[in-house]
Amino acid sequence: MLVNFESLESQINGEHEEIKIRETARSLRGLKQLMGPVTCVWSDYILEAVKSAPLSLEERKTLVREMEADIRRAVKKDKSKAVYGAIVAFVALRQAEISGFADTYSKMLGIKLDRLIEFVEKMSPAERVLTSFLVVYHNRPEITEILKKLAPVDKANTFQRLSRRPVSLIVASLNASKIRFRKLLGGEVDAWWNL
Amino acid sequence: MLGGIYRQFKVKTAAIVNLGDKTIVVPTNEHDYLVPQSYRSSSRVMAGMFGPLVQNLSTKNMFFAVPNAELKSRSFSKGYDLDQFDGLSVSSINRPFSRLMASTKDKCSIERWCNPFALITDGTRNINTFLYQMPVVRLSQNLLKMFHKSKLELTNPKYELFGIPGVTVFIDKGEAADELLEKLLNVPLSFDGDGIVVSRQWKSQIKVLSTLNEEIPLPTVFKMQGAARSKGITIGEFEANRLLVKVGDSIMPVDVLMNTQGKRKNKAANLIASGMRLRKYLGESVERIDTVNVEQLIELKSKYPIVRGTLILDGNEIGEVVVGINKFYLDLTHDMNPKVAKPHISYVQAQQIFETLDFPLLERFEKRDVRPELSLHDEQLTVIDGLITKLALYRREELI
Repeated sequence: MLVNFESLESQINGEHEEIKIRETARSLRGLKQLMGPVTCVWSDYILEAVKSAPLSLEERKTLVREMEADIRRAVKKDKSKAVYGAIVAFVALRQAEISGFADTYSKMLGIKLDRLIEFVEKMSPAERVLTSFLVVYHNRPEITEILKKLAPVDKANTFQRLSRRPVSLIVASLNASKIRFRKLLGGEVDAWWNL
Repeated sequence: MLGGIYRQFKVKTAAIVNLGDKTIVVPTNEHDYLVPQSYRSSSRVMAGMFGPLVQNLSTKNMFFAVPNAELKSRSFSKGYDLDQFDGLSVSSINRPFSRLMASTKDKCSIERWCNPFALITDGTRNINTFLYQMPVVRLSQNLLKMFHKSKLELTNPKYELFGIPGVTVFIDKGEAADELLEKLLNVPLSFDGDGIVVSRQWKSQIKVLSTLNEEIPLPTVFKMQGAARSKGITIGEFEANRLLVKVGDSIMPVDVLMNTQGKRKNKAANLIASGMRLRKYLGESVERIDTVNVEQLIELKSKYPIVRGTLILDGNEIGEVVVGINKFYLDLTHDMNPKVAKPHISYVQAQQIFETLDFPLLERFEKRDVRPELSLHDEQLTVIDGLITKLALYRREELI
Protein backbone atom coordinates (compact mmCIF):
# COMPACT_ATOMS: atom_id res chain seq x y z
CA MET A 1 0.00 0.00 0.00
CA LEU A 2 1.52 3.30 -1.10
CA VAL A 3 -0.73 5.53 1.02
CA ASN A 4 -2.61 4.78 4.22
CA PHE A 5 -5.68 6.87 3.32
CA GLU A 6 -7.55 6.18 6.56
CA SER A 7 -4.76 7.56 8.74
CA LEU A 8 -4.04 10.44 6.35
CA GLU A 9 -7.66 11.58 6.20
CA SER A 10 -8.09 11.45 9.97
CA GLN A 11 -4.91 13.54 10.37
CA ILE A 12 -6.10 16.08 7.82
CA ASN A 13 -9.48 16.40 9.52
CA GLY A 14 -8.03 16.91 12.98
CA GLU A 15 -4.78 18.79 12.45
CA HIS A 16 -6.29 22.30 12.71
CA GLU A 17 -7.42 21.61 16.29
CA GLU A 18 -3.82 21.23 17.49
CA ILE A 19 -2.51 24.39 15.83
CA LYS A 20 -1.71 27.31 18.12
CA ILE A 21 0.31 29.73 16.05
CA ARG A 22 0.79 32.49 18.67
CA GLU A 23 1.94 30.01 21.33
CA THR A 24 4.35 28.44 18.86
CA ALA A 25 5.78 31.87 18.02
CA ARG A 26 6.21 32.72 21.71
CA SER A 27 7.86 29.44 22.59
CA LEU A 28 10.18 29.59 19.58
CA ARG A 29 11.24 33.07 20.58
CA GLY A 30 11.74 31.82 24.13
CA LEU A 31 13.81 28.95 22.81
CA LYS A 32 16.43 31.39 21.64
CA GLN A 33 16.12 33.64 24.68
CA LEU A 34 16.80 30.90 27.22
CA MET A 35 19.57 29.11 25.38
CA GLY A 36 22.35 31.63 26.04
CA PRO A 37 21.73 32.59 29.68
CA VAL A 38 21.04 29.02 30.83
CA THR A 39 24.16 27.64 29.12
CA CYS A 40 26.16 30.52 30.60
CA VAL A 41 25.20 29.92 34.26
CA TRP A 42 25.95 26.22 33.94
CA SER A 43 29.10 26.23 31.82
CA ASP A 44 30.79 29.45 32.90
CA TYR A 45 30.10 29.16 36.63
CA ILE A 46 29.07 25.67 37.74
CA LEU A 47 31.29 23.70 35.38
CA GLU A 48 34.28 25.86 36.36
CA ALA A 49 33.53 25.29 40.03
CA VAL A 50 33.21 21.54 39.49
CA LYS A 51 36.73 21.40 38.01
CA SER A 52 38.35 22.41 41.27
CA ALA A 53 35.85 20.88 43.71
CA PRO A 54 36.55 17.71 45.76
CA LEU A 55 33.85 15.63 44.06
CA SER A 56 33.78 11.91 43.38
CA LEU A 57 33.42 10.66 39.84
CA GLU A 58 29.79 9.70 40.47
CA GLU A 59 28.99 13.15 41.84
CA ARG A 60 30.58 14.82 38.82
CA LYS A 61 28.59 12.58 36.51
CA THR A 62 25.33 13.36 38.34
CA LEU A 63 25.92 17.09 38.13
CA VAL A 64 26.96 17.05 34.48
CA ARG A 65 23.92 14.92 33.62
CA GLU A 66 21.66 17.40 35.41
CA MET A 67 23.37 20.28 33.61
CA GLU A 68 22.78 18.61 30.27
CA ALA A 69 19.16 17.85 31.15
CA ASP A 70 18.52 21.45 32.22
CA ILE A 71 20.10 22.89 29.06
CA ARG A 72 18.06 20.42 27.01
CA ARG A 73 14.88 21.62 28.72
CA ALA A 74 15.91 25.20 27.87
CA VAL A 75 16.24 24.50 24.15
CA LYS A 76 13.13 22.33 23.83
CA LYS A 77 10.21 23.83 21.92
CA ASP A 78 7.94 22.63 24.72
CA LYS A 79 8.66 25.01 27.57
CA SER A 80 6.25 23.45 30.06
CA LYS A 81 8.97 21.78 32.19
CA ALA A 82 10.80 24.03 34.64
CA VAL A 83 14.27 25.15 33.56
CA TYR A 84 16.21 25.71 36.81
CA GLY A 85 18.98 27.64 35.04
CA ALA A 86 16.43 30.17 33.73
CA ILE A 87 15.56 31.29 37.27
CA VAL A 88 19.26 31.46 38.19
CA ALA A 89 20.14 33.46 35.06
CA PHE A 90 17.32 35.91 35.79
CA VAL A 91 18.22 36.34 39.46
CA ALA A 92 22.01 36.16 39.33
CA LEU A 93 22.80 37.64 35.95
CA ARG A 94 19.80 40.00 35.84
CA GLN A 95 18.60 38.75 32.48
CA ALA A 96 15.44 40.85 32.31
CA GLU A 97 14.44 39.38 28.92
CA ILE A 98 13.61 36.04 30.48
CA SER A 99 11.64 37.42 33.42
CA GLY A 100 8.44 35.75 32.15
CA PHE A 101 9.99 32.30 32.14
CA ALA A 102 11.69 32.86 35.53
CA ASP A 103 8.38 33.94 37.03
CA THR A 104 6.48 30.91 35.66
CA TYR A 105 9.15 28.39 36.66
CA SER A 106 9.62 29.85 40.15
CA LYS A 107 5.89 29.44 40.77
CA MET A 108 6.10 25.83 39.56
CA LEU A 109 8.97 25.13 41.97
CA GLY A 110 7.45 27.05 44.89
CA ILE A 111 10.16 29.71 45.05
CA LYS A 112 9.52 33.30 46.08
CA LEU A 113 11.42 35.16 43.39
CA ASP A 114 11.40 38.59 45.12
CA ARG A 115 12.88 37.16 48.31
CA LEU A 116 15.58 35.31 46.36
CA ILE A 117 16.56 38.47 44.46
CA GLU A 118 16.74 40.38 47.73
CA PHE A 119 18.74 37.60 49.41
CA VAL A 120 21.49 37.44 46.78
CA GLU A 121 21.56 41.16 46.00
CA LYS A 122 24.83 42.01 47.73
CA MET A 123 26.74 38.91 46.68
CA SER A 124 29.32 38.60 43.91
CA PRO A 125 28.01 37.18 40.61
CA ALA A 126 29.63 33.77 41.23
CA GLU A 127 28.12 33.58 44.73
CA ARG A 128 24.77 34.68 43.38
CA VAL A 129 24.78 31.88 40.79
CA LEU A 130 25.75 29.20 43.30
CA THR A 131 23.33 30.37 45.99
CA SER A 132 20.48 30.66 43.48
CA PHE A 133 21.14 27.14 42.25
CA LEU A 134 21.04 25.87 45.85
CA VAL A 135 17.67 27.55 46.34
CA VAL A 136 16.07 26.43 43.06
CA TYR A 137 17.15 22.84 43.62
CA HIS A 138 15.77 22.80 47.20
CA ASN A 139 13.45 19.90 46.33
CA ARG A 140 16.22 17.84 44.70
CA PRO A 141 18.52 16.79 47.62
CA GLU A 142 20.72 14.62 45.38
CA ILE A 143 21.76 17.77 43.49
CA THR A 144 21.92 20.20 46.43
CA GLU A 145 24.27 17.82 48.29
CA ILE A 146 26.74 18.13 45.41
CA LEU A 147 26.21 21.86 44.92
CA LYS A 148 27.05 22.43 48.60
CA LYS A 149 30.56 21.11 47.95
CA LEU A 150 31.26 23.74 45.28
CA ALA A 151 33.04 26.99 45.97
CA PRO A 152 32.28 30.11 43.92
CA VAL A 153 34.92 30.69 41.26
CA ASP A 154 35.54 33.51 38.84
CA LYS A 155 33.49 33.35 35.69
CA ALA A 156 35.27 31.66 32.81
CA ASN A 157 34.18 32.88 29.43
CA THR A 158 34.42 29.58 27.60
CA PHE A 159 33.99 30.95 24.13
CA GLN A 160 36.29 33.93 24.42
CA ARG A 161 39.01 31.77 25.96
CA LEU A 162 38.89 29.34 23.08
CA SER A 163 38.82 32.04 20.44
CA ARG A 164 42.15 33.52 21.52
CA ARG A 165 44.53 30.63 21.27
CA PRO A 166 48.16 31.22 22.27
CA VAL A 167 50.72 31.42 19.50
CA SER A 168 52.51 28.31 20.80
CA LEU A 169 49.37 26.29 20.11
CA ILE A 170 49.18 27.64 16.57
CA VAL A 171 52.83 26.68 16.03
CA ALA A 172 52.30 23.17 17.39
CA SER A 173 49.31 22.75 15.11
CA LEU A 174 51.28 24.05 12.14
CA ASN A 175 54.14 21.64 12.81
CA ALA A 176 51.70 18.77 13.00
CA SER A 177 50.23 19.90 9.68
CA LYS A 178 53.70 19.96 8.12
CA ILE A 179 54.30 16.35 9.14
CA ARG A 180 50.87 15.33 7.92
CA PHE A 181 51.42 17.03 4.56
CA ARG A 182 54.79 15.38 4.11
CA LYS A 183 53.37 11.99 4.94
CA LEU A 184 50.32 12.57 2.82
CA LEU A 185 52.08 13.84 -0.28
CA GLY A 186 55.58 12.47 -0.24
CA GLY A 187 55.67 9.56 2.16
CA GLU A 188 55.37 5.88 1.58
CA VAL A 189 51.96 4.35 1.01
CA ASP A 190 52.00 2.76 4.45
CA ALA A 191 52.30 6.18 5.99
CA TRP A 192 48.70 6.87 5.00
CA TRP A 193 47.60 4.51 7.69
CA ASN A 194 49.65 6.20 10.39
CA LEU A 195 48.41 9.72 9.99
CA MET B 1 27.58 32.60 -16.08
CA LEU B 2 28.66 36.19 -15.57
CA GLY B 3 25.76 37.45 -13.45
CA GLY B 4 24.74 36.20 -10.03
CA ILE B 5 21.52 34.46 -9.04
CA TYR B 6 20.76 36.76 -6.13
CA ARG B 7 20.88 40.52 -5.69
CA GLN B 8 21.12 42.73 -2.62
CA PHE B 9 17.98 44.49 -1.49
CA LYS B 10 18.05 47.18 1.16
CA VAL B 11 15.48 46.83 3.93
CA LYS B 12 14.64 48.71 7.12
CA THR B 13 15.84 47.39 10.46
CA ALA B 14 14.31 47.21 13.90
CA ALA B 15 15.21 46.03 17.38
CA ILE B 16 13.06 44.04 19.79
CA VAL B 17 13.25 45.74 23.17
CA ASN B 18 11.73 44.80 26.52
CA LEU B 19 9.99 47.66 28.30
CA GLY B 20 8.87 46.33 31.66
CA ASP B 21 6.12 43.82 30.94
CA LYS B 22 5.85 44.87 27.31
CA THR B 23 8.02 43.94 24.37
CA ILE B 24 8.21 46.55 21.65
CA VAL B 25 9.63 46.79 18.18
CA VAL B 26 11.69 49.92 17.59
CA PRO B 27 12.84 50.95 14.09
CA THR B 28 16.60 51.47 14.17
CA ASN B 29 19.40 52.89 12.07
CA GLU B 30 23.13 52.40 11.81
CA HIS B 31 23.91 54.73 14.71
CA ASP B 32 21.87 52.71 17.19
CA TYR B 33 24.31 49.81 17.14
CA LEU B 34 27.66 49.39 18.86
CA VAL B 35 29.08 47.62 15.80
CA PRO B 36 27.73 49.26 12.62
CA GLN B 37 28.93 46.37 10.40
CA SER B 38 26.36 44.01 11.90
CA TYR B 39 23.64 46.55 11.08
CA ARG B 40 24.89 46.88 7.50
CA SER B 41 24.91 43.12 6.86
CA SER B 42 21.37 42.76 8.23
CA SER B 43 19.96 45.72 6.34
CA ARG B 44 20.84 44.12 3.03
CA VAL B 45 18.92 41.00 2.10
CA MET B 46 20.27 38.75 -0.65
CA ALA B 47 17.19 37.76 -2.61
CA GLY B 48 15.94 36.56 -5.94
CA MET B 49 12.46 36.68 -7.42
CA PHE B 50 10.70 38.19 -4.40
CA GLY B 51 13.47 40.67 -3.47
CA PRO B 52 11.63 43.71 -4.94
CA LEU B 53 8.46 42.68 -3.09
CA VAL B 54 10.32 42.51 0.22
CA GLN B 55 12.00 45.86 -0.43
CA ASN B 56 8.66 47.51 -1.24
CA LEU B 57 7.07 46.14 1.91
CA SER B 58 10.00 47.44 3.92
CA THR B 59 9.60 50.90 2.40
CA LYS B 60 5.99 50.82 3.61
CA ASN B 61 7.15 49.93 7.16
CA MET B 62 5.67 46.46 6.87
CA PHE B 63 8.92 44.47 6.83
CA PHE B 64 11.88 44.81 9.17
CA ALA B 65 15.11 42.89 9.54
CA VAL B 66 16.28 42.50 13.14
CA PRO B 67 20.11 42.70 13.29
CA ASN B 68 21.76 40.30 15.69
CA ALA B 69 23.81 43.11 17.16
CA GLU B 70 24.19 44.92 20.45
CA LEU B 71 22.41 48.23 20.78
CA LYS B 72 24.19 51.28 22.13
CA SER B 73 21.25 52.07 24.34
CA ARG B 74 18.12 50.22 25.37
CA SER B 75 16.31 53.29 26.66
CA PHE B 76 13.60 53.42 24.02
CA SER B 77 10.20 54.68 25.04
CA LYS B 78 8.21 54.39 21.80
CA GLY B 79 7.70 51.53 19.43
CA TYR B 80 5.21 49.09 18.00
CA ASP B 81 3.79 46.25 20.08
CA LEU B 82 5.50 42.96 19.19
CA ASP B 83 2.07 41.34 18.84
CA GLN B 84 1.51 43.48 15.73
CA PHE B 85 4.19 41.47 13.93
CA ASP B 86 4.58 37.96 12.59
CA GLY B 87 8.09 36.91 13.57
CA LEU B 88 8.04 33.37 12.22
CA SER B 89 6.71 33.32 8.66
CA VAL B 90 9.55 35.11 6.89
CA SER B 91 12.37 34.50 9.39
CA SER B 92 14.77 31.62 9.29
CA ILE B 93 13.28 28.85 11.44
CA ASN B 94 16.65 28.72 13.23
CA ARG B 95 16.47 32.44 14.02
CA PRO B 96 12.82 33.19 14.86
CA PHE B 97 11.97 36.92 14.96
CA SER B 98 15.00 37.83 12.84
CA ARG B 99 12.67 39.22 10.16
CA LEU B 100 9.37 40.81 11.13
CA MET B 101 6.28 41.33 8.99
CA ALA B 102 3.52 43.61 10.21
CA SER B 103 0.39 41.54 10.61
CA THR B 104 -2.94 41.77 12.32
CA LYS B 105 -3.43 38.01 11.97
CA ASP B 106 -1.42 35.12 13.39
CA LYS B 107 0.37 34.78 10.06
CA CYS B 108 1.31 37.66 7.80
CA SER B 109 -0.20 38.49 4.42
CA ILE B 110 2.76 37.13 2.39
CA GLU B 111 2.50 33.77 4.12
CA ARG B 112 -1.27 33.62 3.54
CA TRP B 113 -0.72 34.70 -0.05
CA CYS B 114 1.75 31.87 -0.56
CA ASN B 115 -0.20 29.31 1.46
CA PRO B 116 -3.93 30.13 1.57
CA PHE B 117 -4.32 27.55 4.37
CA ALA B 118 -1.67 29.28 6.51
CA LEU B 119 -4.00 29.97 9.43
CA ILE B 120 -4.69 26.26 9.87
CA THR B 121 -1.06 25.23 9.29
CA ASP B 122 1.50 24.63 12.05
CA GLY B 123 3.21 27.83 13.24
CA THR B 124 6.67 26.49 12.40
CA ARG B 125 5.74 25.55 8.82
CA ASN B 126 5.99 28.63 6.63
CA ILE B 127 7.67 29.91 3.49
CA ASN B 128 10.56 31.06 5.75
CA THR B 129 13.80 31.83 3.92
CA PHE B 130 12.51 30.45 0.61
CA LEU B 131 10.92 33.88 0.13
CA TYR B 132 14.41 35.30 -0.45
CA GLN B 133 16.06 32.19 -1.80
CA MET B 134 13.63 31.63 -4.67
CA PRO B 135 15.64 32.64 -7.75
CA VAL B 136 14.16 34.39 -10.78
CA VAL B 137 12.96 31.60 -13.05
CA ARG B 138 11.72 31.35 -16.61
CA LEU B 139 9.18 28.58 -17.09
CA SER B 140 8.16 26.83 -20.28
CA GLN B 141 4.83 27.82 -21.80
CA ASN B 142 3.38 24.50 -20.59
CA LEU B 143 4.27 25.11 -16.96
CA LEU B 144 3.18 28.72 -17.13
CA LYS B 145 -0.19 27.65 -18.54
CA MET B 146 -0.49 25.03 -15.81
CA PHE B 147 0.14 27.67 -13.14
CA HIS B 148 -2.44 30.09 -14.54
CA LYS B 149 -5.02 27.36 -15.12
CA SER B 150 -4.62 25.88 -11.66
CA LYS B 151 -3.83 28.87 -9.41
CA LEU B 152 -6.13 29.20 -6.43
CA GLU B 153 -8.42 32.21 -6.30
CA LEU B 154 -8.33 34.31 -3.13
CA THR B 155 -10.49 37.13 -1.86
CA ASN B 156 -7.55 39.50 -1.38
CA PRO B 157 -5.34 39.57 -3.44
CA LYS B 158 -7.13 37.90 -6.33
CA TYR B 159 -4.80 34.92 -6.82
CA GLU B 160 -2.23 33.01 -4.80
CA LEU B 161 1.47 33.91 -4.97
CA PHE B 162 3.47 32.54 -7.87
CA GLY B 163 5.30 29.26 -7.48
CA ILE B 164 6.50 26.56 -9.89
CA PRO B 165 3.61 24.17 -10.51
CA GLY B 166 4.07 20.44 -10.91
CA VAL B 167 1.78 17.38 -11.03
CA THR B 168 2.73 15.85 -7.71
CA VAL B 169 2.17 12.37 -6.38
CA PHE B 170 2.31 12.01 -2.60
CA ILE B 171 3.13 8.61 -1.11
CA ASP B 172 3.77 7.51 2.46
CA LYS B 173 7.35 6.92 3.58
CA GLY B 174 8.06 3.24 3.99
CA GLU B 175 9.06 0.03 2.30
CA ALA B 176 6.46 0.28 -0.49
CA ALA B 177 7.73 3.75 -1.38
CA ASP B 178 11.35 2.59 -1.33
CA GLU B 179 10.51 -0.36 -3.60
CA LEU B 180 8.85 2.02 -6.04
CA LEU B 181 11.89 4.33 -5.98
CA GLU B 182 14.22 1.42 -6.70
CA LYS B 183 12.10 0.29 -9.66
CA LEU B 184 11.87 3.84 -10.97
CA LEU B 185 15.47 4.95 -10.51
CA ASN B 186 17.35 1.63 -10.47
CA VAL B 187 19.15 2.63 -7.27
CA PRO B 188 18.19 1.78 -3.69
CA LEU B 189 16.86 5.12 -2.45
CA SER B 190 14.53 5.99 0.37
CA PHE B 191 12.01 8.72 1.17
CA ASP B 192 13.04 8.58 4.84
CA GLY B 193 15.34 11.57 4.46
CA ASP B 194 12.55 13.73 2.94
CA GLY B 195 14.05 13.55 -0.54
CA ILE B 196 12.07 14.59 -3.60
CA VAL B 197 12.16 12.84 -6.97
CA VAL B 198 11.45 14.84 -10.14
CA SER B 199 10.97 14.06 -13.79
CA ARG B 200 13.78 15.08 -16.12
CA GLN B 201 11.31 16.76 -18.48
CA TRP B 202 9.73 18.86 -15.72
CA LYS B 203 13.15 20.00 -14.51
CA SER B 204 14.23 20.97 -18.02
CA GLN B 205 11.25 23.31 -18.30
CA ILE B 206 12.59 25.47 -15.47
CA LYS B 207 15.44 27.86 -16.25
CA VAL B 208 17.01 30.10 -13.65
CA LEU B 209 17.74 33.65 -14.79
CA SER B 210 20.93 35.36 -13.66
CA THR B 211 21.08 39.07 -12.87
CA LEU B 212 22.38 39.53 -16.46
CA ASN B 213 19.41 37.63 -17.87
CA GLU B 214 21.42 34.51 -18.70
CA GLU B 215 19.44 31.26 -18.65
CA ILE B 216 20.92 28.70 -16.31
CA PRO B 217 19.69 25.10 -16.14
CA LEU B 218 18.89 23.73 -12.69
CA PRO B 219 21.75 21.86 -11.00
CA THR B 220 21.62 18.06 -10.66
CA VAL B 221 20.73 18.29 -6.99
CA PHE B 222 18.78 21.22 -5.63
CA LYS B 223 16.63 22.14 -2.67
CA MET B 224 12.95 22.80 -3.14
CA GLN B 225 9.85 23.14 -1.00
CA GLY B 226 6.14 23.04 -1.48
CA ALA B 227 3.88 25.19 0.65
CA ALA B 228 4.38 25.19 4.42
CA ARG B 229 7.96 23.98 4.56
CA SER B 230 7.45 20.59 2.88
CA LYS B 231 11.04 20.76 1.76
CA GLY B 232 13.67 18.36 0.56
CA ILE B 233 16.51 17.96 -1.86
CA THR B 234 16.10 16.17 -5.17
CA ILE B 235 17.46 12.65 -4.86
CA GLY B 236 16.71 11.35 -8.32
CA GLU B 237 15.30 11.97 -11.78
CA PHE B 238 13.13 9.78 -13.96
CA GLU B 239 11.81 9.88 -17.52
CA ALA B 240 8.34 11.44 -17.51
CA ASN B 241 6.83 8.77 -19.76
CA ARG B 242 7.63 6.01 -17.25
CA LEU B 243 5.50 7.30 -14.41
CA LEU B 244 1.92 8.34 -15.04
CA VAL B 245 -1.06 8.99 -12.83
CA LYS B 246 -4.68 8.35 -13.69
CA VAL B 247 -7.28 10.65 -12.14
CA GLY B 248 -10.81 9.92 -13.32
CA ASP B 249 -10.53 9.78 -17.09
CA SER B 250 -7.36 11.82 -17.32
CA ILE B 251 -3.88 10.34 -17.45
CA MET B 252 -1.03 12.73 -16.72
CA PRO B 253 2.75 12.35 -16.52
CA VAL B 254 4.03 12.76 -12.96
CA ASP B 255 6.36 15.73 -12.44
CA VAL B 256 7.23 15.34 -8.77
CA LEU B 257 7.13 12.43 -6.34
CA MET B 258 7.26 13.32 -2.65
CA ASN B 259 6.13 12.00 0.74
CA THR B 260 2.82 12.68 2.48
CA GLN B 261 4.58 14.70 5.23
CA GLY B 262 4.22 12.18 8.07
CA LYS B 263 2.75 13.76 11.19
CA ARG B 264 3.52 17.35 10.19
CA LYS B 265 0.59 19.67 10.53
CA ASN B 266 0.89 21.04 7.01
CA LYS B 267 -1.31 18.62 5.14
CA ALA B 268 -4.08 21.05 4.26
CA ALA B 269 -1.43 23.38 2.79
CA ASN B 270 0.03 20.59 0.69
CA LEU B 271 -2.48 17.84 0.00
CA ILE B 272 -5.76 19.79 0.06
CA ALA B 273 -4.42 22.88 -1.74
CA SER B 274 -2.70 20.68 -4.37
CA GLY B 275 -5.91 18.74 -4.82
CA MET B 276 -7.89 21.95 -5.28
CA ARG B 277 -5.44 23.17 -7.93
CA LEU B 278 -5.74 19.84 -9.77
CA ARG B 279 -9.54 19.99 -9.61
CA LYS B 280 -9.43 23.49 -11.10
CA TYR B 281 -6.92 22.40 -13.74
CA LEU B 282 -9.21 19.53 -14.75
CA GLY B 283 -12.15 21.90 -15.16
CA GLU B 284 -13.97 21.56 -11.84
CA SER B 285 -15.12 24.76 -10.21
CA VAL B 286 -13.26 25.61 -7.02
CA GLU B 287 -14.38 28.07 -4.36
CA ARG B 288 -12.56 31.38 -3.83
CA ILE B 289 -10.59 31.24 -0.56
CA ASP B 290 -10.80 33.87 2.15
CA THR B 291 -7.41 33.29 3.77
CA VAL B 292 -8.41 34.96 7.05
CA ASN B 293 -11.66 33.02 7.46
CA VAL B 294 -10.57 30.02 9.53
CA GLU B 295 -14.05 28.48 9.47
CA GLN B 296 -14.08 28.48 5.67
CA LEU B 297 -10.59 26.96 5.58
CA ILE B 298 -11.73 24.10 7.82
CA GLU B 299 -14.85 23.60 5.69
CA LEU B 300 -12.76 23.45 2.50
CA LYS B 301 -10.97 20.38 3.86
CA SER B 302 -14.20 18.38 3.80
CA LYS B 303 -15.60 20.09 0.70
CA TYR B 304 -12.52 19.27 -1.39
CA PRO B 305 -11.06 16.07 0.06
CA ILE B 306 -7.69 14.78 -1.15
CA VAL B 307 -7.65 13.68 -4.79
CA ARG B 308 -6.91 9.98 -5.28
CA GLY B 309 -5.30 8.63 -8.42
CA THR B 310 -3.85 5.41 -9.73
CA LEU B 311 -0.11 5.35 -10.20
CA ILE B 312 1.13 3.70 -13.39
CA LEU B 313 4.78 2.66 -13.67
CA ASP B 314 5.99 1.42 -17.07
CA GLY B 315 2.39 0.69 -18.07
CA ASN B 316 1.48 -1.27 -14.92
CA GLU B 317 -0.94 0.04 -12.30
CA ILE B 318 0.85 -0.16 -8.97
CA GLY B 319 -1.47 1.41 -6.44
CA GLU B 320 -3.63 4.26 -5.27
CA VAL B 321 -1.91 7.54 -4.35
CA VAL B 322 -2.66 11.16 -3.44
CA VAL B 323 -2.37 13.51 -6.43
CA GLY B 324 -2.36 17.26 -6.85
CA ILE B 325 -0.65 20.20 -8.46
CA ASN B 326 1.77 21.39 -5.84
CA LYS B 327 3.50 24.75 -6.01
CA PHE B 328 7.24 24.79 -5.46
CA TYR B 329 9.92 27.26 -4.44
CA LEU B 330 13.62 26.67 -5.05
CA ASP B 331 16.71 27.39 -3.01
CA LEU B 332 19.98 27.62 -4.92
CA THR B 333 22.02 29.26 -2.19
CA HIS B 334 23.98 26.09 -1.53
CA ASP B 335 25.65 23.55 -3.73
CA MET B 336 23.77 20.44 -2.71
CA ASN B 337 26.03 18.01 -4.55
CA PRO B 338 27.74 15.54 -2.22
CA LYS B 339 31.30 16.62 -1.57
CA VAL B 340 34.28 14.69 -0.28
CA ALA B 341 36.71 17.21 1.10
CA LYS B 342 39.35 14.61 1.96
CA PRO B 343 39.43 10.89 2.57
CA HIS B 344 39.18 10.62 6.35
CA ILE B 345 41.16 7.42 6.36
CA SER B 346 42.85 8.27 9.64
CA TYR B 347 39.64 7.28 11.37
CA VAL B 348 40.00 3.96 13.12
CA GLN B 349 36.55 2.88 11.96
CA ALA B 350 37.41 3.62 8.34
CA GLN B 351 40.65 1.66 8.66
CA GLN B 352 38.80 -1.29 10.15
CA ILE B 353 36.18 -1.23 7.39
CA PHE B 354 38.81 -1.05 4.66
CA GLU B 355 40.72 -3.93 6.23
CA THR B 356 37.59 -6.06 6.62
CA LEU B 357 36.49 -5.40 3.07
CA ASP B 358 40.05 -5.76 1.79
CA PHE B 359 39.42 -2.57 -0.14
CA PRO B 360 42.54 -1.20 -1.82
CA LEU B 361 41.56 2.44 -1.32
CA LEU B 362 45.02 3.87 -1.75
CA GLU B 363 45.54 2.24 -5.11
CA ARG B 364 42.68 4.30 -6.41
CA PHE B 365 44.63 7.53 -5.95
CA GLU B 366 46.93 8.53 -8.76
CA LYS B 367 50.62 8.74 -7.77
CA ARG B 368 52.53 11.80 -8.92
CA ASP B 369 55.70 13.68 -8.10
CA VAL B 370 54.81 16.19 -5.43
CA ARG B 371 58.30 17.36 -4.53
CA PRO B 372 57.97 20.76 -6.29
CA GLU B 373 54.69 21.38 -4.48
CA LEU B 374 56.26 20.33 -1.19
CA SER B 375 59.20 22.69 -1.57
CA LEU B 376 56.79 25.55 -2.30
CA HIS B 377 54.78 24.52 0.75
CA ASP B 378 57.96 24.54 2.87
CA GLU B 379 58.90 28.00 1.61
CA GLN B 380 55.48 29.31 2.52
CA LEU B 381 55.66 27.69 5.93
CA THR B 382 59.02 29.35 6.57
CA VAL B 383 57.43 32.73 5.89
CA ILE B 384 54.51 31.90 8.19
CA ASP B 385 56.96 30.68 10.87
CA GLY B 386 58.76 34.02 10.66
CA LEU B 387 55.51 35.93 10.98
CA ILE B 388 54.44 33.85 13.95
CA THR B 389 57.76 34.46 15.71
CA LYS B 390 57.28 38.19 15.22
CA LEU B 391 53.70 37.96 16.47
CA ALA B 392 54.81 35.99 19.52
CA LEU B 393 57.47 38.60 20.30
CA TYR B 394 54.88 41.33 19.97
CA ARG B 395 52.47 39.48 22.27
CA ARG B 396 55.36 38.48 24.56
CA GLU B 397 54.37 34.86 24.40
CA GLU B 398 56.82 32.00 24.58
CA LEU B 399 57.05 29.58 21.72
CA ILE B 400 57.41 25.89 22.52
